[in-house]
Amino acid sequence: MHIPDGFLSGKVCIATALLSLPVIVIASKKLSKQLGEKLIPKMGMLTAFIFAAQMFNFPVAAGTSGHLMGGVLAMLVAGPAAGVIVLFCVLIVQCLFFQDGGITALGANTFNMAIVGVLAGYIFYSAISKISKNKFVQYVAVFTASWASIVLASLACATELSMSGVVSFKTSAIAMGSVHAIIGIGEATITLIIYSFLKKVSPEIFFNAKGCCREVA
Amino acid sequence: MKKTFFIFAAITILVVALASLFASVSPDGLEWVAEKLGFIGIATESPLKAAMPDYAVAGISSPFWSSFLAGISGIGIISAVFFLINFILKKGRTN
Repeated sequence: MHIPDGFLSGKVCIATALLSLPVIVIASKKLSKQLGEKLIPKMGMLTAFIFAAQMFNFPVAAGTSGHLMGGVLAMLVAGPAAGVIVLFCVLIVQCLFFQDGGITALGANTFNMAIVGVLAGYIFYSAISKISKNKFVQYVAVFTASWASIVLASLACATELSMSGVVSFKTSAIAMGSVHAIIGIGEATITLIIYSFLKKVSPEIFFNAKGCCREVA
Repeated sequence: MKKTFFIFAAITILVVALASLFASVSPDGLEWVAEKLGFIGIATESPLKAAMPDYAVAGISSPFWSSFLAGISGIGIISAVFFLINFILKKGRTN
């Protein structure tokens, strides 16, 4: 759901940029407090992997395609603050070098995918995962959070489109929400597969796992 | 960590290769909505000339290699930036 140049009005572009900037600053500040030796390489790996995964569009019903957004994956592995920055880095590279997402819409794309995508995913994941340590509950938490991250990001995008006067909120919210409710199932399935794979082969990679991401400050 | 790093790098390159071979060219969710609701036309030319628009390297006729090289370049750029940040932070910590 990378918004190209031209879709959003100037006001919405500026407003979303002004809204995103402080969040990026706060996330970076938070990160500097948890910079263990391994956090930067880990964030680099995540950024590269999510960039690659976002190239892989999978077909969705009715002639649409979707790709992994990776917000919940980044959040699970590196924590919410690092997740926001990882997604932001992916968006910058895509926009500057590949014309994927307009430069004028970078603030909006950051708001939708890096901020709403990661933080909404984090809220859903924390709320569900703390119910029980049971494996099934953890899986439900990952699946639901991933799905919600896509749908809520798409609704943020729909809001920006309607505020730009392109279409009415109701029309864009229904259209964006329903397509992304399907794409979100793809996101949730892929995230869950990667999550369970990593849990098996490298459980220490996760945020807050034992011996990982200790606070140094 | 070193082992994890190499496995991750290999998987990432594999994903780029698979994406270059099999990625769907259908419009994504937003493009589809924009087509359906009739506002796809308001997209404008980017004021910025990206080096590899649409994940394609100019002058390479093979769609696979064009996309694969674009993807690998993206990964190269990301890796270079993170190596640099890591290097600077490490230096800052030891000084």
